[in-house]
Amino acid sequence: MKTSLFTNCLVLAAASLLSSAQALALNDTDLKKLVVELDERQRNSGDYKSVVFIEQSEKGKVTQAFEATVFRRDADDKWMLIFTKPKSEAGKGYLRLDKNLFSYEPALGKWERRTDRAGIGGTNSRRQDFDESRLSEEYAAKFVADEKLGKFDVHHIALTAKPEADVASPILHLWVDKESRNILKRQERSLSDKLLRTVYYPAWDKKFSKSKGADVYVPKQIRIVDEVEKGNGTTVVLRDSNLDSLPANIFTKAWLESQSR
Amino acid sequence: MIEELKVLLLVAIRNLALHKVKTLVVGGILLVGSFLVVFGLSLLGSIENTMSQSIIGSVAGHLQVYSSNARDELALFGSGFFGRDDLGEIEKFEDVKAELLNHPNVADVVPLGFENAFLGRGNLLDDLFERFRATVKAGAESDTLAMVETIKTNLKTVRADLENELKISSIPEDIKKQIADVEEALSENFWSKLPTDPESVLLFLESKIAPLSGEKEPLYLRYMGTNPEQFTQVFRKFKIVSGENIPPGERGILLSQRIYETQIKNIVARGFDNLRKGTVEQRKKISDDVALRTIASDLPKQYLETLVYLNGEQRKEVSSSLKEFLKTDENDIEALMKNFLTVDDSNFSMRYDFFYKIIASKIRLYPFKVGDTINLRSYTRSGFLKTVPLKIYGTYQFSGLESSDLAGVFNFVDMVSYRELYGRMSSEGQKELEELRKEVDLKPVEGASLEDALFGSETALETRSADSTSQDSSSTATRVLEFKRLQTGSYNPKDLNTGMVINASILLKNPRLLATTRAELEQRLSAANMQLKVVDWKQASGTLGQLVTVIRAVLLIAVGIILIVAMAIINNAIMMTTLERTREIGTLRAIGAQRNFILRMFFVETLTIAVLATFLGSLLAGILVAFLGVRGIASPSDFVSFLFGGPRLYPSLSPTVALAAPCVVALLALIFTLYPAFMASRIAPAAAMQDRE
Repeated sequence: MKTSLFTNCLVLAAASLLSSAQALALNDTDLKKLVVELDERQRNSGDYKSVVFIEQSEKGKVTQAFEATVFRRDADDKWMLIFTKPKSEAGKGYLRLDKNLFSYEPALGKWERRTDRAGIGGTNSRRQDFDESRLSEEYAAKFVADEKLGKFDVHHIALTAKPEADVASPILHLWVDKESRNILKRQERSLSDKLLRTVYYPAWDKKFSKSKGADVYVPKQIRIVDEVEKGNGTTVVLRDSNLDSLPANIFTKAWLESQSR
Repeated sequence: MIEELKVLLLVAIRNLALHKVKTLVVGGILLVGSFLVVFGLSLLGSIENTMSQSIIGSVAGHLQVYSSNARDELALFGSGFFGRDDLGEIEKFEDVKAELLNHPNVADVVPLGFENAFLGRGNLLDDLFERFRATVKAGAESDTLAMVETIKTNLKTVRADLENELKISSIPEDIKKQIADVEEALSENFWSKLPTDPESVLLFLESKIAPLSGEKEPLYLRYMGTNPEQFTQVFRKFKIVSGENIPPGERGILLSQRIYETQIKNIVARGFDNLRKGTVEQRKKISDDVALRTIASDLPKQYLETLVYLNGEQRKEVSSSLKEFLKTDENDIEALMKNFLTVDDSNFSMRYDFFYKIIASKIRLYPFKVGDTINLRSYTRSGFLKTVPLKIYGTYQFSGLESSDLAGVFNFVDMVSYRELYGRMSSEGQKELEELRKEVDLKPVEGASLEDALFGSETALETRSADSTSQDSSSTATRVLEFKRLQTGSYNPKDLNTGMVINASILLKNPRLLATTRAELEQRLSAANMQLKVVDWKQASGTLGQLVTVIRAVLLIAVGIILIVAMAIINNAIMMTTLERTREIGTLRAIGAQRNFILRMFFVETLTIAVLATFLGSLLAGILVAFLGVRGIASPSDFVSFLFGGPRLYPSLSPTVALAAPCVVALLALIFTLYPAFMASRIAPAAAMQDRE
């Protein structure tokens, strides 16, 4: 009798949990709205500049670290990164124009055109990590579940790349804080659904953008975990973010070269 | 005793003369057998000798030392498996070197480490636009105008290719857009912006037009880090072909002359070189050889690799020379060049001369030359891409191994640059990194507890930073970024011999003591608590080192089989003659010859013929080896030239083989005489009578 009562209680508890989860689940409209909002919160529509610290570690041991300044002009889809530290990397840079990623080597004074999917500075971070968010354009979203991430209540959603989209990861999973609507965790998966990278966003910065006339959300810290090479990871810290207009001629090879002289 | 021997010898000579057929068969077999053994073993000994010189004299040294924690075996010339070998590390080379040099037979220890790197290569248009940017920057108007013409001409070719592609493309919209971009780049309006806004013109060409020429595969290079000065002193076959050795304390690279000529040189020039090698050096015909035919058929398809370098004036010159050379009225330079590059056995020689006389001087034969700096890119041990700019100080080759791909497989870099490409941070870099981390104030978080550490407390996820201060941010952006750049190039020369290396070559004073020295060194290192192992050059060279052992085994098995068959024939021949000689032996027995006498008679007969035949066989082999030792045996391939220690093998006769081989063959002949001799000795005197009946 006792057992039966206990079982009934369990079933009831499970049913109530399930029903509350279903009540909290995002419907298609809300889901679409959320993905658009995620892009919109990060969209600046103007210029952006930030100092970035990238640290690469292997089996818990720091193997590389860089400091760089990243520049972005979302209106023209232009992007640029110049390393400032350490001295051995300082002056090296990347300039993205159209689908080309040009890398600059100051010791040679030479440029090289590469695919824009290449890792930045040989680390596990990619151009997309510093680029404008285009989730709603490039992916189709699906609600997975409401979950807990640490002490935070989050929506877990899955994104699959649209056929025509040229993206680095065909499948993404996002964990979005219900309260602040910030992305806290992102998993990047291959077409065969193999987990490749997990990216954490433990801190966000909110800034008012004059060009947008609204707030823009910029991650302050990004922790990238390499799921293929276990124990390897990258930490990115963004500082001194600035949303004001950059000079018109800045996204050129000549300008980047001028910084290394 | 001596009297009996004399009698036996006389009887033997008489019998040998009497049974000519048997003598010729047995003698012939023994002659051929000893000839084969002496010639084959001399040849193999010579190959082993030249190959050991090639391996020891290029990079291996007599012995190699590397970590005993290595997961893979050291294979300097490749293990035959794909992937990157894990050879562990020698943390403090200076300690290991000191320990090894304590051994009286160790002459020197050279630090080494090898990896694969690659060089990114732009396509033809990337190269062209890179040169155009440099020309515009230099500011010489006439050069700029000449290059504009070159670019326009090439753009017309690109447009023609795109128009052809449009006819068959499944994505015509993309091609139309690309054609529109090319049209834009051909317009006068576009070029009118060059004097006032060169950067926009250049960026349009580099980002919109260059990708239309496709992507070029990177150039893969195997590189070896070492102490360049010490390496040159120790490995005497190492010779600088052009430029100079990497000076002590300087970062740089020495390219393999072989790679420079066979992989880096302009592809059309390489085609001409390979055809010349095939037709002149190897005396093959293009029409008969598949490989040469393929090279010849590829040449016309590579015409752009020559034309892209020519400016307007040069195009006119080349066009007029080609018209005259080809005796044609064709005016289109592309058609002329395609026609010129269509070579066969009848026209190749003249076209080769014309190419190097008229065209080669106008094109860029090598994408980089001695004195230039290249960006060597390699994956570090952790798997991250590392780029190090290195000055090309020169090209090198190993004397006598100029045509060997194996000997020229490595490009040498200084050990300090090697460590950087390997991902090893210098003490200065380590210090800088610590300062940088302190500045950012980043708390270390372990992987498993990452989520708890990041989201385990109710800390604010979101902060609002102050609005940027009005409009002065644009001035911040235009301000030159403040950073100090490391002046790459110099380091303390002591660093070459201190710190981490992967393996090291050990050169011995007396190579004959190689095996004992190897064992003693291992004991020594083990006693010093250094977890290292020592291997000889054969083991260190990977599958290549085992090649001679395999060839020797195959040869000995083959010789063994031949000898066994030969001995069986000898046995049979003696048996036949024994039967024929029953009456004679019976008579000898009847007049008092003992069984022992008959046995000895047969042995002396065999010994006489064996001594004569094997001596003659060895003499003939010796004459042939001596002849080939002067004339040489041409290497049939570049790989074999490494085994031959050069393009020809000059074999020498081994005195041990020349003496031992006839003795062994004669001994075998005697053993195989045992049975027929024994049978003969058992013939009864009465047999003489029976035979008569």
